[in-house]
Amino acid sequence: MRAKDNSSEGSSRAPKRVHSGRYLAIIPGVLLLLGLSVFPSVYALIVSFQKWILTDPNGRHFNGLDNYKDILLGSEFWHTLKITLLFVILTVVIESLLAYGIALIFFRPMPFHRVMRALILLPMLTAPIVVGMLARFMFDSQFGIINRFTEIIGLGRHDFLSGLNTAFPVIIIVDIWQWTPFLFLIFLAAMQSVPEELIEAAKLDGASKFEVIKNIFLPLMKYPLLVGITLRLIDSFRVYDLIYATTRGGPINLTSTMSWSIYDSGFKVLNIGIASAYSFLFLITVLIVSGIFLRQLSKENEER
Amino acid sequence: MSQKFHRKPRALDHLRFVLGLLVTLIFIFPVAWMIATGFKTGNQAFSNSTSFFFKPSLDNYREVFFKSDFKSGIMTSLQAVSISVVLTVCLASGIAYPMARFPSKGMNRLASWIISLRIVPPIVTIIPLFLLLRTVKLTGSIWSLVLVYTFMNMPLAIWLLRGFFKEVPREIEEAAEIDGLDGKRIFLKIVLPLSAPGVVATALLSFVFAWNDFLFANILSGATTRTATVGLTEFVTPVGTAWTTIMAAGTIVVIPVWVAALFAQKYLVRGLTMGSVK
Repeated sequence: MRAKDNSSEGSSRAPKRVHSGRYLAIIPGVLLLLGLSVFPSVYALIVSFQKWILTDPNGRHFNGLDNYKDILLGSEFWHTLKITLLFVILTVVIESLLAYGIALIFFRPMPFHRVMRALILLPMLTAPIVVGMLARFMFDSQFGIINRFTEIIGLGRHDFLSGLNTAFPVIIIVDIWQWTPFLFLIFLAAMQSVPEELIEAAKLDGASKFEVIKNIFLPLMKYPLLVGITLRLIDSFRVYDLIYATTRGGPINLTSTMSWSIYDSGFKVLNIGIASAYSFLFLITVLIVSGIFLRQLSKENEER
Repeated sequence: MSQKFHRKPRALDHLRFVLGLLVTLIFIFPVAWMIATGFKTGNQAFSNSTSFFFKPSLDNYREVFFKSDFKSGIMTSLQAVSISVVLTVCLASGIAYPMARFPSKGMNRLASWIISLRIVPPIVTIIPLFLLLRTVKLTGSIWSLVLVYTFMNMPLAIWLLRGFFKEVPREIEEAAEIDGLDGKRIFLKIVLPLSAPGVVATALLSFVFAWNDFLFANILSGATTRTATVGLTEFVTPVGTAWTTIMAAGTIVVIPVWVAALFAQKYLVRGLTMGSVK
């Protein structure tokens, strides 16, 4: 089908016999992608209109919009939405600012430049579940090194990951530690792709450091900056491993993000109907928020 | 004029170096602490001294490799991840090559659809996939992981490979066509070898993302197919948490990824941005 659609386009210079088989190779891959995306989505959509609890011996039956009603009229959903948006906004904003600052430090060569740059990337290259376990160990109320520090500087011992006021900030700090390097790497690459002559010329014209950043760096870096932030945004919504390893949504539900909450209702409570409906609401949330950036991105892409 | 610019940065350079060093220390300290703790005995780790200076012991590594199931977790991860990487590169090449070489409206639409898959959070994908894989009795087998990892890495691999294949000069392929090579041979004998570094980088990055996965593995793996990341969490027992052992196991999980990243470092930025930033 596809091959036929496109036979008029593409290269007319290619010999005819290559033509027919040109798009054949895409079939297995496309089938896999379709099979694992469209098919399950349709299935999940159907399930989201069903009452289906895996432990319920009565099986499953359609209950119309009940799942959606239950979720949207309850307070749990709005709470997790708030927690998720707060987490995403705080992590992405702080990580972007820090990454930009660190990229400025490393923009010009200095001793051990490459070694330091490589070492900074280690957090990002560490499996999130490992980071989660490490965070749990370091913030442990008995054995954690963070508590030794706070004791030394006179702040006393705390059970950070169970504290009502500390659990959420700690999760955010750990996420910032792990993912700032990701944006740093992208921002630094973007900065280094700005032609040196442009900066020199601006400096010779008497532009201040601030003016160089504002008038040369930012406009030229807009696209890579947007790409990095958009990717970080999409991934920040996914936070699960870290929460699994540290707080499991607690204390109470103060670190219960949407990803965690869906996991909880789907695989702990085994309420598949609710979890499916919840998934769609989550997907819509992600699409709305990242959509803002994606639209901007495709606009930039056209201009380039 | 230029004198002024040469002098000012010098004072700044020292500040930059100090700041750079400080930043580096902040980012490596937790990782260094993990590695160090992995070489400590329980007493050393839990005594109140905060120290990097101690007599290292391999007890935790012995524990991890000989007294726990963690080794089988590593084997499961290695199997599932490597099969999926091979599958990813093959299937993704099949899509990426025609996309790079014969662009068309249809192909561009396909590319946009594929990249949009990257937006969907994995927890959304996994619920129906879990139910479907359960129906066909694939949960608890490494094949469910192979499938899911391949699916997960395809968008990245396709976009990356498309970029690498595009960079092969068109003229070389045209010359081969004139010599009578068909599409399959042109790809295997000319395009693939010429873009080998890119293909290897794609494979390495696919490896990293699949190896680091925890969500899919936690839900899909059964008692005999725990991955390394899932095995890591199982050192936490109701009786107690073997922190020094976990830190050793964590180090083991992390090393292959660091090595892979080292080999792919030239393509890291490109890989992490799906080819959009070079």
